[in-house]
Amino acid sequence: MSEDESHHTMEKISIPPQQREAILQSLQAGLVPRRGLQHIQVGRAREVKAVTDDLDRIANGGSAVRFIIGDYGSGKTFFLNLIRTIALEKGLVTAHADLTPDRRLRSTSGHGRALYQQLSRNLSTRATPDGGALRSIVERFIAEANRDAREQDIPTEDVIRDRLDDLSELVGGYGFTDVISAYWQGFQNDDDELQNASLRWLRGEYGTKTEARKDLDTRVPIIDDSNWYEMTKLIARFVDLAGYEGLLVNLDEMVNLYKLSHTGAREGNYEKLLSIVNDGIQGQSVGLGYLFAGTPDFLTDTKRGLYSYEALKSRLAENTFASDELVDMSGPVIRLSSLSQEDMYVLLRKLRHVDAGGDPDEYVVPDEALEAFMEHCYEQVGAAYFQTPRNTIKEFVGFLAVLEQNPHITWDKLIGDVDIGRDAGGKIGDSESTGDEGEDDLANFEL
Amino acid sequence: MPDCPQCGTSVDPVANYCSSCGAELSRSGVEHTASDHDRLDATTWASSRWYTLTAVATIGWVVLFVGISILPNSVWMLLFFFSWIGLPVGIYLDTKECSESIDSPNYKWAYILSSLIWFVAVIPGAVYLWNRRPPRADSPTPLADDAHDTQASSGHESGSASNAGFSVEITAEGASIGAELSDDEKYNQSTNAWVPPGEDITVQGHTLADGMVYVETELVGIEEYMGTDSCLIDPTLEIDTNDLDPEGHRMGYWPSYSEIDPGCRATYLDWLENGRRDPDIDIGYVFLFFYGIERRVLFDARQSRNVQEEIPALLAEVEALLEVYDNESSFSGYATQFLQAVRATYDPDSLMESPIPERSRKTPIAVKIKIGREIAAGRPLTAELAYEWFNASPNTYKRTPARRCEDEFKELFTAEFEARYGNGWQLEPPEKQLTTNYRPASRSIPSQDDIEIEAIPDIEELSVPVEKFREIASSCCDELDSYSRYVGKSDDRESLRALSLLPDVVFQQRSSESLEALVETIDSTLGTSEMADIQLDLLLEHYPIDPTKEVSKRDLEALATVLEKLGFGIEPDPRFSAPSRGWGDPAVVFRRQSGTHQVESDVSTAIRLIQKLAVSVVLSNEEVAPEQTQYLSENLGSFLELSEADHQRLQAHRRWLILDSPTLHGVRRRAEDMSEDRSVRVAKFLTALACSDGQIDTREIEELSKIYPMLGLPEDTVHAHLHEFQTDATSTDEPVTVRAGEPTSEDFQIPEPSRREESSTPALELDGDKVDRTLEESKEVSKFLSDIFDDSEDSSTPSEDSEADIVEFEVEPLDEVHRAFLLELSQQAQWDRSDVEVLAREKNLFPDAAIEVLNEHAYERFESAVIEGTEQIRVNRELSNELLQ
Repeated sequence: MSEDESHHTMEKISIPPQQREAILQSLQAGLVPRRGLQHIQVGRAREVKAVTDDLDRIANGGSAVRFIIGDYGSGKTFFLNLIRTIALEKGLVTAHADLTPDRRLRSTSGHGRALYQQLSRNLSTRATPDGGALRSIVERFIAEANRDAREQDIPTEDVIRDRLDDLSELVGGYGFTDVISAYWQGFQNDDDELQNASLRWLRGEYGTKTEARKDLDTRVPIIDDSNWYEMTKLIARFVDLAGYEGLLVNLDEMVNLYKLSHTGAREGNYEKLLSIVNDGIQGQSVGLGYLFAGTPDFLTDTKRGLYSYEALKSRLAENTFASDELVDMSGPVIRLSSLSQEDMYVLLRKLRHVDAGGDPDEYVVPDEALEAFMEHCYEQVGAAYFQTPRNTIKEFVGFLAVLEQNPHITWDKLIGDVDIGRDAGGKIGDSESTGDEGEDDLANFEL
Repeated sequence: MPDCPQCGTSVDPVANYCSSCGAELSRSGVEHTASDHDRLDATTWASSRWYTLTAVATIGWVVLFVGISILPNSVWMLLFFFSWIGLPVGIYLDTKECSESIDSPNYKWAYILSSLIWFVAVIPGAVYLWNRRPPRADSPTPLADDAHDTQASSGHESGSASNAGFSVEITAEGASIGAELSDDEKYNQSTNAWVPPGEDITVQGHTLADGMVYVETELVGIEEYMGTDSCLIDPTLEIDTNDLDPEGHRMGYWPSYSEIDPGCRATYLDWLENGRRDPDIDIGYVFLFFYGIERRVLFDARQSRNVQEEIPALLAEVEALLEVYDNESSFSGYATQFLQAVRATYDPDSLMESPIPERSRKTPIAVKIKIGREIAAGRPLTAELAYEWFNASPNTYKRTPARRCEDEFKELFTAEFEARYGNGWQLEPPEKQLTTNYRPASRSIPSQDDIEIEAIPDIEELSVPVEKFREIASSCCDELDSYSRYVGKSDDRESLRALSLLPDVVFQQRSSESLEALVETIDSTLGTSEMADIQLDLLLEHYPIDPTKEVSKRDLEALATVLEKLGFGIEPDPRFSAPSRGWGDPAVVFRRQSGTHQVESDVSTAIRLIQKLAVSVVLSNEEVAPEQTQYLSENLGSFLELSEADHQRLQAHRRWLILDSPTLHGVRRRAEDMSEDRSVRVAKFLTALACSDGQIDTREIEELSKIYPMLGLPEDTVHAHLHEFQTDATSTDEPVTVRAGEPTSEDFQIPEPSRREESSTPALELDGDKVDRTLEESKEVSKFLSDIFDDSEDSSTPSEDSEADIVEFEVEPLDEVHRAFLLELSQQAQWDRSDVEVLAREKNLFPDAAIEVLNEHAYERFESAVIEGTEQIRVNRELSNELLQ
């Protein structure tokens, strides 16, 4: 590899200091930065483009469903975050959640509702990228309706009901409309409780109908295990009416379904998944996209994976022509290759580039230092260092920071002091960090 | 059974002395009869009257002692005086008589005086008799001359003296008798006596047809001191036709016509007269006759060429006798040796025609001559001769295979010899000439030592060839061992099993109907193609395998071996770890490429295992995709370097596997031998194979999931490999393009050790091309993302971007209401939510919707929110000022 060539690829992209700070800080904290991902994204151009096309389709009232399949450490979560950021940038509303033993697609004991709750809490918009955008979305819709109503001098509620008329054809559409009206009434009457009750309903927080009826004064169905998916469809329509481009739902850790030991429960979940996939593929849902992330065995295991469910298998079957070089991104499955040493090398270069604010003249260390750093990592942790890159990245950013602050230290002396802990098994940019529990972390690098 | 003439007890006919009284037996009897004759027989000399008196007196003392109370007094007394006087007198007079020819015994007077003591006298008497005992029948006999009794008698005495242990003084007369006869004279005697073959002669009423005997009164032995030649038939000697002895009880070991008794002579003449073929006759008579032939051939023929002409007839006679008296080991030994020695001398060629005699301690002369001649002539030793030499040489021990399967052994030996020495082995002739020895049966003929034979070297001087032959034989035996064992066990030389065990060389020379039929079956199945499917039954029925029984693995193995020897290959071949198959099962036959010999190795066992797994993967979805078989045949070889023959066999094996679809039984055990590295490669190969038809089937995955644990890999690894296969195939192609790239997926076709293993070397090695590709792709994706995020340098300056990528609803500037709201908010850095709500309500705004709108604008322009928080609301006043400007 010639130096000239490599330099040329990195030149003249100046990075604003705020963004530089944000990137470096979040990386140092072991998190995926929310902004500036383009500066540190390594490879995967095809995958990013394919999914971005999906987002455009969603924005155009279409639907999409994708399975992001990759081994542990291959960057599934990073990829989901990247796509989510792009989606927000494109004006979509996003919702994301990890599946856990208590949060699944379907169950009879509230696990499905729990998943929905998580999604609704994590609803994000470009302006509210860290979740909790539900109220903003609802108010924005009502504000639009209210403005129109005032202009046309008709009751706002009529405008609301008129606009939400489309939803009535969907499961729970009437109830949804009632709840939005209730919010309007609550606002109109300065009734915080009613407003909050509406939002609680929308977040699926009512466990019984009686409770909901008591709070909302209307007889509405509640969101439960059986209809939460339909609710996401309603929300997708709703955000569109509120002026957003569509809804993207990211579900990570799908392997939790694969791990379900009860066959009936697992197949119930796959059945649910099948209906989501069907809607996505057949374009039944409007402005709604689903991204699922999981490990290879979740997909291809014929005993417990998706391939054990014939209907899913036939929809997810991949083209395996090894010799045919047509890269097939048309199928619903996108496979992410594990990180290679070369990927890691390029990533370190990019980090150095970001660190230097995009100016090659400002590089703190030469290329040899990158290789030396990798070698050092290898000696300490073995091959894991590039397959579970979080710690490596963290240490590297720290390494650069120390060199920058202490110009008298040379890199080759410092390198021996770097201590790479073995990745305890977390994921880089664990999506939990962007959820409720992670809010504190995120505060660290907001400007 | 004759009686002892002295004491009357019956005695052994061949014994020389009476077992009870010690008196001499036959000789005394002879003397008795001979004394009637006017001629003193050579045997009578010892029994002078004084000697007899001594003996009788000695016995008398014994009788006296024994009969002291039995005998009547008068008789006892009479015998007492006779013995007391007789013994000393007898000794005195006997010694006196002896002293005429020899010195008197040293202790003459001691004998005489001690013999006067009563009873004790028996001791000196017995000792004297013993020392003075007559010579044995075979001791040298002075020439008998019937004309001179005294001369003969003195001759006897000279001989007897030498045997009595007294100081010997051979008389000049005795010693000079034979020496006077020259070879010529002896020959003249022979000529006089000889009755040539074909002529008849009548002796004492017996007509002896076809001659071959010496008949005369005089014929001195060639070994002169032996006196009259044993074979001579002296017609003047008495015969007694009433006392025939065909069992030869009275014949000594070395009979002589002149010494045997008249009854025996009559028996001999009878035998001769009756054509010399009576199988029941005592062999002693045959020897008597044979002595004559020996003399004629070994002595007379040397003297005269004319006599040599008789030799063939004489030899023929010996051969005829040999046939009749073959079971007499002594005679057959002499006769065989005789024939050989004579032939070696006079007619070596005839030796080579005769069958090789039984193994002896020496290389048969015939073989020596035959081979010696070849070597002498400078001709190379052929395999045939080598085998003969090996077989005939002493100390050659042939192991069981060589003996049990002699024909096969010979073929092998020949082949091996020819392999080593081509058409022959050029040997330097040794210097030593071949000689022959013969020790005649007749006492009258001296031993024939070291008779040189023509110009033939003695091959026994050469030790190297025999060593080489043994070496060859040993390796042949090794090769033949399994066949031999089988033959020994089941006594079956022709069955499939037996043939399969034959070494190739031997097998090639075999032909049997069943083999031809087998070849024909295969030929018709194959037609012109190299490989064809066949029913195992078609092959098995050519051999006697019981159709009602299971076909054993050994049978199948035998079939495979036989086919291989016939130039075909078969699958399943149990020798290559194929499972056992039987009636009704399919098989694949193929022509083996000429000259290839299937050499089994560990390598192809592994390959076979892999292929077995591969086929099970291919077959898992019940259809055989042509892409998969093609992939398999193209890539399987990449594991190892395979020869053409191996490829061919693999192809057949694959074909059979597809026909038969055997279970994966036993894979786990064999896979244990594989290194982990190899297992991973195999596993990846199988996964790639499953993918090679463009789709991965559930059943293929299931099959893989079954196979992986057999290879010692976790079942889950299937999915990781599948994933790796699919991502690798895409990540290594041309960078950054959704279009077709270059076919670089060979990377996977030959599964490489994973990168993890590569990096196990401490030195970090980066693939420069790959880095470049990754950089290129990253640059592409960065640009793509930058377009979306509008992350240009001017992002810090508030300006509306008109690019289409930018989200549409942001194009509008901040409206008046929101602007006023922000203005209000920016008065304070921190708000309570309730205050904000009031503020919004005043402006007829929804608080969250309004904040959302403001933040959207802020993000659009500054990549950051202007208002943050849900309960405590913070305003970034820097940004708000900018927004309000």
